[in-house]
Amino acid sequence: MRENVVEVNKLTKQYGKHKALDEVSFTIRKGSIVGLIGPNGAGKTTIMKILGGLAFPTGGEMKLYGAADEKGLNHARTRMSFMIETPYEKKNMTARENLEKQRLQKGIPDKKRIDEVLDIVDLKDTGKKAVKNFSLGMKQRLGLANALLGKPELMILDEPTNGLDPEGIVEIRELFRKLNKDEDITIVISSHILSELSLLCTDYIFINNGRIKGIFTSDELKAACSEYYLIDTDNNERAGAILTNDCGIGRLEVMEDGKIRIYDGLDDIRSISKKLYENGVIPTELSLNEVNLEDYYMKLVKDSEGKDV
Amino acid sequence: MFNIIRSQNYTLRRDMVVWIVFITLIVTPFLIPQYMPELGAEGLTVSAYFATQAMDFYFFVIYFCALILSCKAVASDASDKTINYEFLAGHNRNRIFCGRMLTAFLWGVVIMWLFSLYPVLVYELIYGWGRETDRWGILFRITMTLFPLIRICAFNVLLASLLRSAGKGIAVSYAMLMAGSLVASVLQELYNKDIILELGLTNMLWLISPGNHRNVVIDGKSITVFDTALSTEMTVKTIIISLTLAMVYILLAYAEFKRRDRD
Repeated sequence: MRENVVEVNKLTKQYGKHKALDEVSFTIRKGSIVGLIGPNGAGKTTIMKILGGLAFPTGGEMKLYGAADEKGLNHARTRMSFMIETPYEKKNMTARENLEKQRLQKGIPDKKRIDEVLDIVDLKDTGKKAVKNFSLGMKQRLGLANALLGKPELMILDEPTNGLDPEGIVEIRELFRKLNKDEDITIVISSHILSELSLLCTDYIFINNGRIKGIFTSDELKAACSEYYLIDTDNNERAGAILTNDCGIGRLEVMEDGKIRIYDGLDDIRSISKKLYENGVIPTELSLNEVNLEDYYMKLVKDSEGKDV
Repeated sequence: MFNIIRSQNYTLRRDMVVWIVFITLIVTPFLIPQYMPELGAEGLTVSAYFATQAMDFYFFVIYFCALILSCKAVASDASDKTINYEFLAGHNRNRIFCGRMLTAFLWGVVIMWLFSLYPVLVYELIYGWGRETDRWGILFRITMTLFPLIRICAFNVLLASLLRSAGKGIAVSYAMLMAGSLVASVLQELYNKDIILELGLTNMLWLISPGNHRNVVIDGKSITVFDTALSTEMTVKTIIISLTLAMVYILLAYAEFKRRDRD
């Protein structure tokens, strides 16, 4: 088991009467790529701001690389990099000047590192072009270059592919994968583009209304996003009772339109339909489907309203 | 902390406004005589510069330039949130605050004070000192302006830090200067007393304005000679009040910076 680089325990952040975070707890293992998933206003950025020292928690505790005191947290942050809300940019300066300012601020002695990171994010040919003339995608790349400048061990990135074209998204995804694999950099990415994260992440943290709604490994999420049979009958209420009592289906869900989803006994669908028929319920639809990540997330948020993990 | 200072200096050196400020400070001493014919009557000596209160005008320009530079050094990157990357890089808040405050003092006090010597140096080299004022008395008065500059700079650090914007800091600081001057004038009228001088609050212009003068005849020529010596009372008040207020402003700014969340 690899060490935890981030440990958050009952972290709470209150702005007046509004609880932006409500007793949030999770850990992040070294070497993982974690997707922090939630809709706008869910609390993703607040978590990142507290981890980065921009905001103070009103309750709970956190550890970065095992340190919990202010001095230790700040030292741990020197091993990390962040890109929160807006990518780093002084609009009247060039990409190189922006990175030089950051190099001085971070105390990085090697000037060549600027060329290296500009090369990595494909901005080396921007010359004297001021950042104000960059596209949103180029600004995102500059933000990533800044995040890579200090050779971090942990990168915390808020919507890093925002504004990138599809080709750019693929490139950045491959870059993250490479950094994670070759340099063992732990990466935390917040996003609401779930399909994009599903191709990359090893762990997932679902958050909504300041509360954790689920924490999964990639395998667990794949299992959760499993296949199901969608059943519609001439009497769905009775069908539900038969499926539970006579067929022994444990994982069953009645949808808003009355149709039933069953997640167990998928190999034995023939006997299930027979049992329904024998009990006087006529199946009118019986189809094998798969829950995608978006569906699962929506279900998770909806099911766990008021309940926390 | 030194990394923060180096980084801020790097940014300020690339700021167009900073260059406009410098050009203004370089050009202004030569523009003033164009609008003050009395300055040229006896030759453009340093003494004449002080005697005709041309230096007052230059210090007024310095005041505004100090205001702009100190606000920019503290909060030019607060509105675009790029200041946040100093926190995220693991610098503790004390170091970030001290780094930015020292940058503000470097640009708003040290560099501005050096600029205050610039017309003296240039006019001395070109036209000489003149007879109306005492060289060491004037230089002592200019040296003393360091203290009000420290106070002004500290006040701007507080405003820019509270408002988290260089532009807003500049605007509010200017508005408060105007309001403060107005209130001081009214109080002065009401109590018939020199409140500005007594409190030493806005005394930068007083320091470089030699007040008392008398006419003397030298080489058969009548010359107005100025009393450039600064009273002990004025010196002490300037130092104590400027430093005390600067300390209060800095402590208030620090308390806010240390405890408040960043946007």
